[in-house]
Amino acid sequence: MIKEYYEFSNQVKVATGEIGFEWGSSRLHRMGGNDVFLLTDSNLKELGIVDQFVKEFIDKSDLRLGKTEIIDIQIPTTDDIDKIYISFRQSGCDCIVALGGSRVINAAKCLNLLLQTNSRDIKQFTGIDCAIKQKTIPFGVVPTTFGTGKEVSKTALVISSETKTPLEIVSEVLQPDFCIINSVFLKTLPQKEIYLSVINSLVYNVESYISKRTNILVQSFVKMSMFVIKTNFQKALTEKNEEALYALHRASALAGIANSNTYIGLVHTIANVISGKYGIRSIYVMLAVLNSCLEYLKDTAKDSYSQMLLYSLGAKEYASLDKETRMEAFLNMFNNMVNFIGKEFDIKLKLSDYGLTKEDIVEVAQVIEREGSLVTIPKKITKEDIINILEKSL
Amino acid sequence: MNIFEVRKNIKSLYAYIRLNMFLYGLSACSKYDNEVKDILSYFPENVEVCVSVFHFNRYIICKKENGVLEFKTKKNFFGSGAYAMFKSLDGALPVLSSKESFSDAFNKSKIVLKGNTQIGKSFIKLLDIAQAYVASGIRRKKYLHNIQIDKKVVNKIKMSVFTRGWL
Repeated sequence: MIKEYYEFSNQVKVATGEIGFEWGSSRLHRMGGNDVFLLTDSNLKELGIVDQFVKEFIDKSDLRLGKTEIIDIQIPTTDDIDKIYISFRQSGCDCIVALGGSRVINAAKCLNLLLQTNSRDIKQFTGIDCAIKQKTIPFGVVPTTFGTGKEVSKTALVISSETKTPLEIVSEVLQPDFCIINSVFLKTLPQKEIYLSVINSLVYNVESYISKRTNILVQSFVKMSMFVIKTNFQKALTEKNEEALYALHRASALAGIANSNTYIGLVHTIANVISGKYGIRSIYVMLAVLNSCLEYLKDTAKDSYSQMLLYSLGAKEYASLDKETRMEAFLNMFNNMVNFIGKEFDIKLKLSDYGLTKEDIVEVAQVIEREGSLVTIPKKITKEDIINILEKSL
Repeated sequence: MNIFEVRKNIKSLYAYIRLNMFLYGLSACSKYDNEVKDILSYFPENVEVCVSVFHFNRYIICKKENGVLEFKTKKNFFGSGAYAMFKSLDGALPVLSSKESFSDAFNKSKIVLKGNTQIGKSFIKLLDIAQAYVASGIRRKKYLHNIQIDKKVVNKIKMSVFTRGWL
């Protein structure tokens, strides 16, 4: 274990709790920021959250609001990023703050990458670990949703304006200097979205733990994330307990840190392909295929499942289970969660409910098999295996 | 010349020889191994993928143009597609000596992947397979047993490698 080589990084300072905003604006100012380029989306503006944020974060500090840029596109093109870059340069701002969900954070990260590397063309950074930081522009993120861990991850996605193909960028330079986890924004989130976000975090945790890229540091983050989710899940949902919501939000950041060092696994890969091809929401596809994927990986990930069950249940409950039944207990835990969510929120849990047929499965399996992301999963997967997984989810 | 420089030169020479072997291995696999043929068929047209080691002037390039595959080594690389680069010679040596697979090295972040990550990761799969064919039986059993190869074509591919791709 000691001689084994691995890399782990997380450059984001995570601030959470009541004084988060005050701390954030002070930090931004101490880093040399004065005029803030605020990226957000139109929903938040309409709800008045942006004005509330500006009052708390900017007006009460030494910062000034230079410009507000609205981001409503799900995945920006290279031309969109260029427009945002020009807008930043014309505004005369010297620091960036992103307030919003994944689309806003994604765009802000791309802008940050161009500024940190002193370049204009984002296409040259496509790939993994290709960018080197040259200058520092203070960049903070205030996520208003949770579950994706985008505020701490090292990935961004853009679409090439010329070829219309997605360009994935993975680099530490994308990461913000700090993120403020303040669950005041989550109080208005519907229960369904909280449940779905938690499932997304759990899937990230499982994928990170069993990934071929995993290491002891990644597993530590997963362990803590699973423990926090288990302890606060019920309280957040049944009692709408604010502390519990905060805790789930933090757990999602921990899952994001773990995942940014291991990349996505089988469940997310299948969900992304099917979602992109048929326009079904990615999390719904994840719910449909989750159990089949976990079943498929159980022979290689048996010990990992057992260990994750320990973190989820706690020592007492774990010890009460027979050794042979622990893996089944882990699979049942996810099965029960998925069935509960499906029943409670009337979400379809079969791919056939979304109109997929056996012929679609064969076609999609071919695309999934070619996905490079599968190089990180702990088992060699063939097209037939993928077809089996999808047929079980049909 | 001190001992460190001598060692570095020996390592560089070894890396150069092994990279060339992988090049011939890849070329042979593209003719005889079905999985490699399959993966290459999905590569888009007019794409170049490359593997090299940082600060090492030797690039192993696989070019697909109008359905024709070309494998070559060059002293520089300006193509589109994907470029996998080992961060250091010391990091690359276990892979080049078949004690570690390309995908394991990638999973340990020993490789920088520039360009289209999907094509890049598929190229890493290809390199894994070529490595498994080129490696000796003992190394394959000990370090690369997770990579499945077609035992019927092992000898054909090895012969092709040792005759530098003439067969």
